[in-house]
Amino acid sequence: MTPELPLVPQLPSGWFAYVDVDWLSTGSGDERPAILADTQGALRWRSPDSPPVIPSDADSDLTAGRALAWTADRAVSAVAGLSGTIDVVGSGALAGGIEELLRRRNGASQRSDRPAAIIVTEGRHEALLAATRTVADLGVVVIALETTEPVALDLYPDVHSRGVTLRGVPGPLAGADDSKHHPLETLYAEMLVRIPFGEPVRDGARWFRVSGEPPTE
Amino acid sequence: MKPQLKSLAAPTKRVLNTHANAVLARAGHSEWMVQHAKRELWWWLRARAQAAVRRRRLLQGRGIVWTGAGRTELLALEVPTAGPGEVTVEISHTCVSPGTERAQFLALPNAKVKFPYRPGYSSSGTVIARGSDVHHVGLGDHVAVIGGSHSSLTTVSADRVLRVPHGVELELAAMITLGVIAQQGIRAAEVRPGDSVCVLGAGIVGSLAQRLATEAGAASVVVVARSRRHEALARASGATEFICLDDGDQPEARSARVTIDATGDPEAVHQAAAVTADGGRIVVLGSPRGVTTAFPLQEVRRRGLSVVGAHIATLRSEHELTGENAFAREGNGFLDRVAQDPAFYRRLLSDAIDPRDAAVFYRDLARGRVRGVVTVDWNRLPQSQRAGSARLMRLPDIRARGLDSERPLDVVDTEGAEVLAGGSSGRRTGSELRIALLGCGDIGIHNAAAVAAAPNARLVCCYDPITPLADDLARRYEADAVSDVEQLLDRADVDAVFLAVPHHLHQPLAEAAAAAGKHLIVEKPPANSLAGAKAIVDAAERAGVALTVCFPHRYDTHIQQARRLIDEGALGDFRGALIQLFIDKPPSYWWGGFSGRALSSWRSSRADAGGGILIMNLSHYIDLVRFLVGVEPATITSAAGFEEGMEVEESISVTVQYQNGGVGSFVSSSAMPGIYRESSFRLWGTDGTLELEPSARAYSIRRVAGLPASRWQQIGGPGHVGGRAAFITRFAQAIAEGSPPDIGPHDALAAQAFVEAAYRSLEEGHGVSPASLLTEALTRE
Repeated sequence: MTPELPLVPQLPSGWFAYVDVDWLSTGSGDERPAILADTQGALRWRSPDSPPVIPSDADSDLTAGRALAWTADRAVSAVAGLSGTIDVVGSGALAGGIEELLRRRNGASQRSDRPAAIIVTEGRHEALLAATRTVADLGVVVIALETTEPVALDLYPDVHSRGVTLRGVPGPLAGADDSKHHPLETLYAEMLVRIPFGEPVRDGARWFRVSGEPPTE
Repeated sequence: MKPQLKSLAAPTKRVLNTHANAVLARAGHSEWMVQHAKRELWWWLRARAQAAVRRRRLLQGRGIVWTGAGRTELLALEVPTAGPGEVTVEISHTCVSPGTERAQFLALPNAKVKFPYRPGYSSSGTVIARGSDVHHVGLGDHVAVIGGSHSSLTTVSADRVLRVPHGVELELAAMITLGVIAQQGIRAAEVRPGDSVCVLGAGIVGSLAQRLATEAGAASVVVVARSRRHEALARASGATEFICLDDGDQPEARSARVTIDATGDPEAVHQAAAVTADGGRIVVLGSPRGVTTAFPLQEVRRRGLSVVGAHIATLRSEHELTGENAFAREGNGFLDRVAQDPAFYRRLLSDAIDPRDAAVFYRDLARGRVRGVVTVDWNRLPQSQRAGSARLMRLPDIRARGLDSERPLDVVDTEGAEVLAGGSSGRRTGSELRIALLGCGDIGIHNAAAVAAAPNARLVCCYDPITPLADDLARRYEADAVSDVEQLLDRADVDAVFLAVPHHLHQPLAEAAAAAGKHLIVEKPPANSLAGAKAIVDAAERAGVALTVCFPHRYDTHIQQARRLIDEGALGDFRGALIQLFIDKPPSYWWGGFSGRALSSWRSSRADAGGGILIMNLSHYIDLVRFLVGVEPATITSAAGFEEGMEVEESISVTVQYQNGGVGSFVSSSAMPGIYRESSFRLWGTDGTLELEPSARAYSIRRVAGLPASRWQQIGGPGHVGGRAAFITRFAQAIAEGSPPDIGPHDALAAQAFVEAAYRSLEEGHGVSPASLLTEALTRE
């Protein structure tokens, strides 16, 4: 993958796009989810034209990581009080952060064919549908994924008849706390892979920053 | 099962299946009905096996069974008496779950069932047996049963049987499962005091949910419905606002912390998301019948909404997880609420039906004509059918299931025939109608015999230009043969003249007979044209004599029986008639009729006969359709084929649009090689079908005149009453009583107008209204 491909919205010169690798499975180019940082470090969601949610900060790497960390926090809060196995479906930084928080809360996770809850961060619809069918009766599927396309869902077998709950978790930059310190921010700072404009995305990257087009001479 | 046994099971099953198919086919079951018969045989065997294994008695009751798509029957069902952990209940009422059962009946998505299928899952009744380990209910207790199909008897797991609190009627207790559904929905909604709640849908489950939300302390309950039909009930039970979507109103966006979707509409989740506040809960309580094509995934995510499935089956999961009998918890909770305010729950009930009327009910339910909650009242069945001991060795009645018209039940009701028997078996009296027969050809023979057979009529004299023909009939029936028409008309001992002459002679002879003061019996058709028929009617009216047309098939036993069934609603609203008549008339027919008794070419003359097989033979059916269903044609369109050199049609196809929207198709040929005479006569309506030829049988979803619902049954009675003799008898009776004849001038003109319109359509190439022709004829001086 290279930044020349329409991985993220077209960025003005000097801007950054912070992308969880799970977000790459949905949409393309301008439609693809991303945290955008302008030259002052202010963060906004998805489009350079959208208003900044977190105002200027010198270190946008840190604030973008915090926003993701609080998203992971909200996802874990959505399954608070549930007993039984909780699975995470996704391979990005958000999924990693959620797994870390669950590990800190519950210790080492047990595998189960029928988990009590499944947190989905991967944007493919198949992942969500598989989660609704795999989760235990009366279980919870946490929607922490980003998608840009409508999904067809047969609520009767997948939700209604088994008492499943689909619980939405607001994404990055959607919470009041998103700019505050979070214990995971260090993790995200370490995880961030910086990709200069025009260079390929490194395999195995879970959380990366793409640079906008360099200033023209 | 061990692998070796498994490998043997499949071929054995195949062999048994093939054998069963062959046996049932030999017994007369059509191919598709074999499956149904096998399923019922399986029920029969299973019931006995269960009874034998558990050492229980076998009871027999009745149950509603969908024997096929859109087919409902009330069948005998057998259940073993209660064993350990079970309770047997004689059912008082079962409650129809309108959403679920309609969806199943219509085979909507997520609601497909295999036939035969026993619908229903909510009932109440009296305990008649219980397992030795069952203590929470006793014999004679009134109980509510969560589950159990629509049947008069059920043996169920004791944990689904709840004692009905004192003062709660069994009819209300029958709503138990619907109440449990609503209760678990409210529990899933986690309604808290002060909450704002929105309920989408105002059907039974929506109404119950709304009521329960109010009782749970919701500060506001907004009900959103398509129409205002349930507004009064909603407001009475605490709705703070009622939004009618058909009026263009919409609930306030993001106003409800909890939204309960009780619609069953897979797309209603969009409305639910719109009305629910950020972070709120959407409870999917009504079972979605289909796929939500664009589930609002990002909206649910972005706004932190929860979409919660709330199906009654989740209580089973809860039971398994917690060990608590969640069904009993919710059921007892519901029954307590009913006990506190029975008046409210009574308002939810709209009707109670007799189980024998189930076929009509489900048809209406499918068409969206059922409002409110309906219960099936099993008390209306005779006790002998509701609950009794089953006979172990009696084979099941798998004959003649709903669709199996090849094997109708035997005739059990002959009342229709008695209508006629009363007339035709009357004793001879002094007031006989004295009849003169004009025309002693083919049909004259039948008419003379009919007059002789009528108890209140007598053949006085006969005339035919071919003297030996008149002599023949006079000799047979001890009548006089006269040598000319004037002599016949001059006779004072002649009350009525029976015209059985070529069609073009009907008018002049009828006018002469009427002028002589004789009542008129005219062989069908009334005349060779509408103008001719009108002239005959006028002549009778001027002379003050009675006029009838010989349409004797009206009096055939099966036609009388059919008329009675139709009058009692077996057909419902008339929808169509199909008449096919095929004859291979020999060339000699056109010169001397079938018998060659009187040589004349009038039958092949358009001017004399008025037409071919339509006027000659189909006119009977034209009259029969009118007689049976009482509707008149609006437009008639026809096409015909003519043999070279023939003036009258050989084949004809007539399409009718009746005034009530029904359709008719009359197809006939007088030259279908190899066919002596074959006919098909079928009428159908919204509720049933009558086949009158070649055999006489009836099918109706209504329980009328002794006809069992949803079963083909032969009609007509074992004995055949001669229609022609009955026709004469009834006419003579009318004359004696001074009353109008059964078949009068209006019938004559209507049949003739039909024929005229069909022939006019041939000439003009478009549909013709017989009513317009008739109006034209009646206004022309």
